[in-house]
Amino acid sequence: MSDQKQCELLIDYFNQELSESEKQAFEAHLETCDECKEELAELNALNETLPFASEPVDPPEGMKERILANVLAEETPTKEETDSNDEKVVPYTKEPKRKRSWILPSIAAVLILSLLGNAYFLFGTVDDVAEEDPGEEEPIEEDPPEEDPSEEDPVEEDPAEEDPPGELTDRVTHSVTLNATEYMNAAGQASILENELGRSLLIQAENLESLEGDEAYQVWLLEGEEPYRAGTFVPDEEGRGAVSFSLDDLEDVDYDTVAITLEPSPDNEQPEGEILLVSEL
Amino acid sequence: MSERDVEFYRRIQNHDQDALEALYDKYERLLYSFVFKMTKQSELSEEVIQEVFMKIWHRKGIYDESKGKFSSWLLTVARNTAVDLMRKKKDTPYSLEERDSVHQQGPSSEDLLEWKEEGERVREAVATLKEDQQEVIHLFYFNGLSQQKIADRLDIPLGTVKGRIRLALKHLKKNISQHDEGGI
Repeated sequence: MSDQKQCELLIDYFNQELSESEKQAFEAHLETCDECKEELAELNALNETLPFASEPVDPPEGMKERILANVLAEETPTKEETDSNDEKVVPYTKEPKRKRSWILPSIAAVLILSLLGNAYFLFGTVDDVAEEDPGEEEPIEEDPPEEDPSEEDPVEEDPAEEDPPGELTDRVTHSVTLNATEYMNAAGQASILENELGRSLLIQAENLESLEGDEAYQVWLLEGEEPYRAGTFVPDEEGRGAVSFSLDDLEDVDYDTVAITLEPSPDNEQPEGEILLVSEL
Repeated sequence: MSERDVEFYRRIQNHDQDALEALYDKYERLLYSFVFKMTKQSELSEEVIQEVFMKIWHRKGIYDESKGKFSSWLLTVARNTAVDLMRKKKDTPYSLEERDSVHQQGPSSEDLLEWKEEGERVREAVATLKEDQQEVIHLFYFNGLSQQKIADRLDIPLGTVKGRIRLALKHLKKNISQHDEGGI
């Protein structure tokens, strides 16, 4: 590549857009091109001024505790981590690894609810999706496919090998942080739980705007462009909402994305509102 | 001020948790405000800041005193981390909110002196730029976009992006120095 061409890559180099080989080639060019060197120094100097143009924004509540705990937690491996190869049951209530937000401590509470009544909705609106297509009674899957538990799973869990008789043990097979879109500054988490009876989707969100009239937050599982309803909820006064949804009826769906929208009515079969929170699964 | 930062940094290198907390407290709001301006997402901003402190604590980011102020280094690490995570999430926000919020209140008395002093002049310097120049700086610096994406967003030929950025930055620099001469 000619030097002239290399000089054109300065911006993309500064913004880390180059591939590893492009980057190396550019850095070699940088050694010999005073103009680029000087320009790069000017761009770097922007970090001394432009960040200060930021308008003050309050960090989310509890950010300091979360961040410091997480940073320090990785300092020395805890006993739990060093033991992680052992076969043992780590119940949910036993101090999960501290990661993000208020969500984890309350999972235990949600689990109890889901165990007791298979309650689909914790707050507010009753959804009827589970009754729409009763279909045939699916046999209970004895051996659900294993998912890789290491996959960005914020909760450490080991498979429950021996269950006390008569008790169901839910465990998280997958958990993702939901990303807020430009429409609302909300936050949330989606987890897929599994127990002896099947799998369920657990959604927890916070920082939700309050609703008017019949409005409700609707969870969707998407297979490509095709949306499937996966629970409805309304937030509490503090903007928190959660819903647990049985995935039994969606066993044949190869969903890849979970999304939350704000719908004008809790019965919408197709999403009308904008996506507020979303993540790949 | 900078000396204290360096002192904190040294102590952190020796895994002094109090120093980590002190440094965190000092820069939390500035870092968050800056990163939020870039990402426009609170969750992602928190992730970025956590990553920044991970790098400091685990000595993956090394500060070299001879290369300038600690705060500049810290902000550089924050920006690079934010650009990196935004690209990984493939969800770069596009917002020119800053244009409307120029007249918002600046940092309060509890915030860093540096932010208060520097912030005022930089905000004014940005605000006096022409709208399209503000936009190109936002896309380039705060959103950290590639030239191709900037070209797409602004609907201009790829070959002209670098020139536009250069021109906008030249005006910005001029505005900042004019402010210095005129003020204080």
